[in-house]
Amino acid sequence: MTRNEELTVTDEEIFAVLRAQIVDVLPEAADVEITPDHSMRDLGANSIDRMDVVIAAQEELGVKVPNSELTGAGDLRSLVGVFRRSLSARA
Amino acid sequence: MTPPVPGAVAVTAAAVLSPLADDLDGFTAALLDGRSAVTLPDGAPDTLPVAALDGFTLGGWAGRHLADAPDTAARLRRTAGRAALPARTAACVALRAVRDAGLTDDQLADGTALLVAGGNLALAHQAETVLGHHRAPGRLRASYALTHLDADVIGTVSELTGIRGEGWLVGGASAAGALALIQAARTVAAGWADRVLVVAPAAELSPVEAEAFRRAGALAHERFRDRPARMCRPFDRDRQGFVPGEGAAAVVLERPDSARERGAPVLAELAGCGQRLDARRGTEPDAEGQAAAMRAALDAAGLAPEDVDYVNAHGTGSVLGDETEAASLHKVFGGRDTLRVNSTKPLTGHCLSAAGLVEAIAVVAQLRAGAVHPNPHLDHPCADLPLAGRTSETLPLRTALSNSFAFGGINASVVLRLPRDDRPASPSAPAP
Repeated sequence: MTRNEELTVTDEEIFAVLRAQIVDVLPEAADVEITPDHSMRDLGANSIDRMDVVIAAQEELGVKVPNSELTGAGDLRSLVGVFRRSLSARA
Repeated sequence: MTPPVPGAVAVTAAAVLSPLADDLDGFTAALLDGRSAVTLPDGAPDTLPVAALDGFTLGGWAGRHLADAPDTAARLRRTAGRAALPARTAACVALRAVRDAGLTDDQLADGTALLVAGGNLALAHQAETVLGHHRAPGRLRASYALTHLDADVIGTVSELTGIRGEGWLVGGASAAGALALIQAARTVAAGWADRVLVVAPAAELSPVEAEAFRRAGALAHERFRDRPARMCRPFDRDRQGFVPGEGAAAVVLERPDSARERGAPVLAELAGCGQRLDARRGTEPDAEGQAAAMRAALDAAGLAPEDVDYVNAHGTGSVLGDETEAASLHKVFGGRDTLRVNSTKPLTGHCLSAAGLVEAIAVVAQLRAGAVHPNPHLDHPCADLPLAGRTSETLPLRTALSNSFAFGGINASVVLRLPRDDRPASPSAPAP
């Protein structure tokens, strides 16, 4: 079982959005098999690239995530968690 | 008086990225063929002609130029991949120029300065972002804080090349490329840097600037729509204005003796340059200011008008602009029929802030080929000038002058020539 399959369906959707935005912002990441264990930093994102990804993902998912929660997220798995909690809070 | 360049400065690399070609040999061949990159992008009746870098991608360019250097290709993609078109094109020509010049990492890190020609470079990127922000404010990228800046070109090129000396932007509208060349020559001549990488990124226009140029009467857009390649026609009776072109260029300038010491090929020498203002705001050219800039460049090179074999005119195809330049050329050169005059803009389009550098490279290409490229659309010459004909012409070229004029009354001229033959037989290189 891969890491991806351990995620819930909703989490997978969030992850897919994040992955698409990462590839959009970091063209070189298209060559990498992006997993939830990666951090955006691992993938070559600097601070402004990371902002580009999370802002675009918020727009795509229709949710506003407080900056303070985003800074705590290390790998993409925890970033998915931050988005999931914001989506549940909104629901 | 423009202070003279004390001694000529060597051009040790010349890289170009144009819809015509993305290397010097291909560019030379396209020029001598009289090939034009001008097209009408689609069939709409009001579309404006352009010579656009449509097929350009970093990956495609790297595949052709960096096949032997996959790490450099990866750095190019990582560093420039998220930048706007001007910085992406600048990154390519800059890499090609420093590689062709044979500069080492140590030479780039210590003793090399970077001059970038242009201002308001990423106008299409800006317009797209502003319109996108109006439609969907949430989508605005944080990185626009960086990508809208002309200075992003300095960051991109310096990261890729490893240049850690001085870095400057030199603006001046359509004369920017020539002005950057002038500042680079002075930087080397004054010893402020051992060598300078001069980069002119491709300058963008958004549909707004293009339409404003059209409304100002500056653009060719009505005649020859059935043959768009022929729409830009400098010094022709049926000219109607300029056609914008996308093109980037880079050169490396250094002292001739230091170029010889490190065994670098000297493609040409920049022998003199001149700049004069008309002291008049606006778009109208002034033959007096143009002639003064040309004379200043010749004086700085220690040359007389009769020493010049070839003039690369600013020649945009503008109705008044070409008439004025014909008058200023006549003031300086008289009617001597051994001179040849052409304009590169019918082929490349008007590369705006990059034009001066793209055309300096066109001059170097022609000097080295020993031939002037045609004025291919000159059906009815309307100027009393020794204009090149509709096919290329082989000539013993040695010395050339290139003009760049800009809105705001800016006139700039540079003198380029083949390297002197009387160089020392055995350069005094230090023993290894």
